[in-house]
Order: sequence, then structure tokens, then C-alpha cells
Amino acid sequence: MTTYLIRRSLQGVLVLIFTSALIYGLLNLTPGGPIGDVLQRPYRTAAERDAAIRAATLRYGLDKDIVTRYIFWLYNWDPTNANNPTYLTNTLQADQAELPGTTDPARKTQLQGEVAVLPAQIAAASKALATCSNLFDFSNLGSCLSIPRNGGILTGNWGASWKVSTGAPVLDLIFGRGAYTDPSTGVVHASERWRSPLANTLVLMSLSVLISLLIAFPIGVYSAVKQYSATDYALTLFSFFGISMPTFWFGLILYLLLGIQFKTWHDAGATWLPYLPTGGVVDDVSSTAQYSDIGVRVRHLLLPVVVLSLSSVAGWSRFLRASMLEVLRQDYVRTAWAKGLKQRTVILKHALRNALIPQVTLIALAIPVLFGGAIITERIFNYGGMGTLYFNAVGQNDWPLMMSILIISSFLVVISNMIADIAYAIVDPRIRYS
Amino acid sequence: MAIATTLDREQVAVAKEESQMSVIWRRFRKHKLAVVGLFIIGTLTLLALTAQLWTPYDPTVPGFNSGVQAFANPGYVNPNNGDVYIMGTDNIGRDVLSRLAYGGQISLSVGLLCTLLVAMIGTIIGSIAGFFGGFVDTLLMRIVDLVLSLPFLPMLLALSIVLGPGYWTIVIILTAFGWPGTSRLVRGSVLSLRNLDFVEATRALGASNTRIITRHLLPNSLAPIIVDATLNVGGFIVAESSVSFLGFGISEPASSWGNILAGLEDVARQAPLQLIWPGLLIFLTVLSINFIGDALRDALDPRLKL
Repeated sequence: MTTYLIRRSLQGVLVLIFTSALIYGLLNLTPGGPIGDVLQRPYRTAAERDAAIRAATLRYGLDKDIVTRYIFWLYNWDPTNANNPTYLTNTLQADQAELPGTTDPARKTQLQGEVAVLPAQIAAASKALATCSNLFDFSNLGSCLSIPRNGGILTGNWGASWKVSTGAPVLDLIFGRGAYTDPSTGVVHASERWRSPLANTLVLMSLSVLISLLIAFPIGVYSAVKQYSATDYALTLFSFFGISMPTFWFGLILYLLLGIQFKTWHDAGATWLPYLPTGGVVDDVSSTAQYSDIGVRVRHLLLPVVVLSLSSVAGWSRFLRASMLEVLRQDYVRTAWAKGLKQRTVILKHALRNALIPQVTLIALAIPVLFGGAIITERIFNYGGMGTLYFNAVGQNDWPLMMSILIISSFLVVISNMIADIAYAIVDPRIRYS
Repeated sequence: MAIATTLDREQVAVAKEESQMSVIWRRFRKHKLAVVGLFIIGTLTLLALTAQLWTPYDPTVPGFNSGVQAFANPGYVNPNNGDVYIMGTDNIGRDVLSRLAYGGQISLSVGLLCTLLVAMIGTIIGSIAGFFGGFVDTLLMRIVDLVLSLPFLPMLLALSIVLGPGYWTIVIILTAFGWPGTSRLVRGSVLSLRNLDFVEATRALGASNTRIITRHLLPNSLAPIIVDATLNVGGFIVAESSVSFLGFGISEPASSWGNILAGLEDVARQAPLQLIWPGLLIFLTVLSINFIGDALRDALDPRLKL
């Protein structure tokens, strides 16, 4: 088992490296990429256009070749870029390129200020980097760790967002910002982790997974035990409907009916008619109190959870029905019946416990979904979770954010596959990994 | 006694005359919902294919210019020239019925095309991996693992941006993400068959690897491939419409069932009935396909007595 785990882990690491290189390479094929909006914008003169394009190219580091950029992303990406000489040099060059064409006085002052300060910063950063430039030189590791320096995801720095929230560390966008004191005003800000996109998505997805399981299991067991009964046919039909229903259509219809139409009727005089909020995680995003108000949260969660649960209830109940039918045909179940055991004992103790074994895989494979959220459902109900965050990142070509979400998702897929295999071996003693 | 023997012979004769296709069809017919599904799919395909012949208006020309009202409810009559819009109009006054018909061409053809490509690629790679085993198998299955470890919808959106939204982009992406599942299935099937005695016998007769795979192994794994392919059609149609709905798939002015729904989303407050049609078409198509797949699974399983 240990050998197996080690081999699987190594394979997983390889898969992740390949995946990240693949995704990074693919993203870089995007025509225009992050400077697409700069290319589209109208310019008065060709020189102005060239200066803007050059500035944007340098800002996103697109002047480097793709391999260098990928390696930087892995191990050389300063999230604030304050200690990245390459970035600072790029900024300086970009500023110098932009300066002659600038007419706006405020921008001009800003650029001149930067041009004045940057050379000193570059010198300091280069000096700091020079002592730690060799990745494999461990002799001065201690001094290197003590100075602020360049990062890359291998050092825990996932980069800063380009567009969605320019300059903000990507991990802060995903996990929320921890408690911090504003250095200029001295105001202490409370941690935002518990109302971050990830927290919102975890609440939404774990609720729907839990509810789906609670509904799907009894349905699956019942229709297997009463195979070919009228109820079984009805439940099977329901499953087919649930599996075939496009999420976005079902979501839109619920949104329109319960969110908008009910409100119209409510406002028109039918005051007894309740209606549901049409979107958001809470009524007012700026109010922190609402995030801990269970009533508000539940009203906002109701529609998305129902939409997300429908298809998974349908799918999972079919799976459980199939594996339950398989088990009920086994000899040892017939023996249990023949011994005269109670129906309840045979079904719940002898059959169900074995029928649950394949479901372990299913539940383990739901882990990446818990993180990634549901892009479509979150978008329809305007729910501020991971799905929405990713959707915005794709729409705006925010590569650092996209990379982070995709890599964390792939990591979770790899991990959950391993967990599924291990859990399978634990619950089913017949399975041995050599 | 003599009579019984005659009867037996007659039955045997009848059974021999019945071709494999008619056996499958007889077993398939038992699944009433699948027959209804087949009828629905047939009708929708026919209507979509002949859209150029019967649709009343051009699906891409905005009706604004001729004074057509936007977001008109079903049955709207243009006061200027008396044109009737049976299913109403969309956000820029285009006929929804015509758009649905042309959208059907795209949505259905994406589903079918991707399924064909996935079945072909998946079968080739799966049979090579299963038959040759060893290093080839390991390499191919690691690639399969790699593709399967990519998050599906997020990657779909990212790749759509990379390749530029459009018909062929969607086909390529869905195929790229579809083949690993099929190839695993085929590999498993080939693995279980390749050590059987009849394959050994064929080899002893001097058959080449290609002949063993194409003439003996694949025909015997055809049933799961067909069922898998059938169910894939529905999955691809939903995937295409989801991506188009999110705005990363088939882009305007071309229509697909997904992007028609996206175009109507913002106007839902004014003409909520409009939202029903595109979704209902996707739902009916996918439901029918799932029923057909279910019936095929039963009809093609020789162990199942029907």
C-alpha cells in the first residue's frame, strides 16, 4: 500500500506539472490575450498606439518567450513585483516609452515620479536577487528566506490578478483576505476569509451535495428493492427527467417564476405570496452582519441548491439503484433471506452496506466540484462564488487567476482520485494494491 | 411427440431467418419511451434539416428595420405588413421560430459530429492500448488520465477563448475532452476479449494484428461502444448549449439552442414565455436520446432475456 501510494503521488505530481504546462501553453495561444483590449482601443496616432501596446506588453511580461514566462510563473513571480528587477525594468521602459506621448498632466506627473524612483528600486532588487539567484544553492538559504524576494507558485506566491481585481494577490481573491491593519489609516480590518468566493462556494456546494445524497440514497434503495413496481417506474422516469434537464434552463425558469413573477404578483396585491431573492449571496454584500444571518443565507441558497441538487439526485439514485440490484442478486443475500432475517436487516445490513462501496468513489470525486463551484448556476443566480470568479477571469483574460483556479482544481481531481482508490481499498477488503 | 418435434424445427427455422438487426429492433421496440424518443429525434432532425425550406424569415436579419417589435410574445403580428411571428421575436426583432430551426441544425450537428469523432478516436486509441498493452498502453492511459484530470467546463471556456468562439472550436474542444472516456471503455472491452480462445485460434490461423482488432475484437465490443456513443450525443448537445449560453460557444448572428436562450435571458421579464422553447427543445432531445440509449443497452445485451 505504501509503495502504491508513493507511486501514485509521484504520478500525480507529474500529471500536475504536465497539466500546468499544458494550460499555460494553451492560454498563451490566445489571440490578443491580456492586451486584447489595448489592441482594440482607438488611438489618435500610430505612435500613441505603439507606445500603449509596448507598455501593456511589458507590463504583462509578454516580451519574454513562453518558456521563460512559465518558469517565472512556477518559481519567479513576485506577487507585488516590488522586488522583481525584471518587472521593475519593464515598468521603467514602459513608462519611458509612454512619457513622450502623454498629454494628461496627472498621468505625466505619475510617470515622471515613477521614472525618478525606479532605478534605485531596480538596483536594490537586483542586489537582493543576486544573492539568491541560484535555485539549488542551499548554502545561503537562510538569508534568502529572510529577504522579500521573487516567488512563483512553488514558493507559495501565486501571483497577482491582472484584470479582475488588478494587483490583488490571487490567493486573496480566492480565499479572501485575512485580518490586516491598513498602514496609512491604522484601521484594523477583520478577516474576510469566511465570506470569500471559496467560502461561499463551499457553503453552496456542500449543502447541495449533502441534500442530494440524503434524497438520492433512499430513492435508490427503494426503487431497487421494489424493482419494476409503479413507484420504481415513476422514480426512474424522474431520474431521466433530472439527468436530461439542462441546468441553465431549469435555473432560469425557477429564477423567473419564483424570483421575478412571484414578486410581481406579490407587489400587485397578493401579499401572502412569498418570493425569493433573484441573486447574490446575501441581500447587501457590504453588510457583514447578513453573512451570519441564517435566514438571509437560506433564502439566497434555496434556488441554486435546488437547481444543483436535481441532476445529482437523479444521477446518484440511478447509481445506487444499479449497485443495490447487483448486490440483491448475490447468494449471500439469498442466504440471509433464507435464514428468515427481517426485511429491514437484510436490506440495510447485508445489502446496502455492500452496495455503498461503489458510491465511495462517487462521493470522493465530488471533492473538486466542491471547490470549483458551478459556473452556470452561480452565473444565473449571480452567486459570488468560485464559478463566478472563474467566469470573470476567463472573460477578462486574467491569466494568473485562471491558472490558479485551474491548477487547484486539477490538484483536487488528482487528490480525490487517490482518496477514492484508498477509500475503496479500506471499505472493500477484497481490493489490494500491490 | 411427432408434432412437438415439428414445432421445434419450425421455431428453429424462424429463429434462423430472423436477422440480428431485426432481433435488436424487436427488443428495442419493447421500450415504448425509446420509440417515442426515436420519433421525436427523427422529427426534430427532419425539421432542422429542412429549415431552409419552411422557415418564414431569415434568422439573422434584425427585424428592427421593417418595424418589427422586439421581445414580441408568440403570435405577434407586425402592424406594418401583417407578417405573423408564431413564436414571437427576440431582443432585436428576429423571428424566434426561424432561429430555433436554424439553431437546431447547429446544436444537433455538433452533437452528432462530436459523437462520431469521439467514437472513432476513442475506438482507435482504446483498441491500440488494450491490444498491445505494455508501454503503449501505459503511455496512452496516462494521457487519458491527464485529460480527465482537467476540470471540464472551466477548460472548455478557457479553450474557447484561445481558439476563438465558433462552430469548429466547439467541435474540436468537445472531441478533445470526449475521447478519453470512450477509449477507456474500448480498452477495457478489448482487454477482456484479447486472451479468449477464439482470438488465439485466429492468430494461429495467421491473422494479422489489424485483422484481429478490426474483424474480431471490435465487432465483439460494438454494443458498449454504440450505447456510449448514443448517450454521448445528449451530453455534447448539453455541453454545446451550456457554453453557448455562457457566451463562449456559437456566437451571434448564428444561432444555437444555447445562445438563443442567452439572448432571451435579459428580456425574460418582458416575454417570459419565450424562454420555454429553446430549453424545451434541448430537454426533449436529450431526454429522447437517453431513453434510446437505455433501450439500446437492453436490446444489445445478449445476456438479458427480453
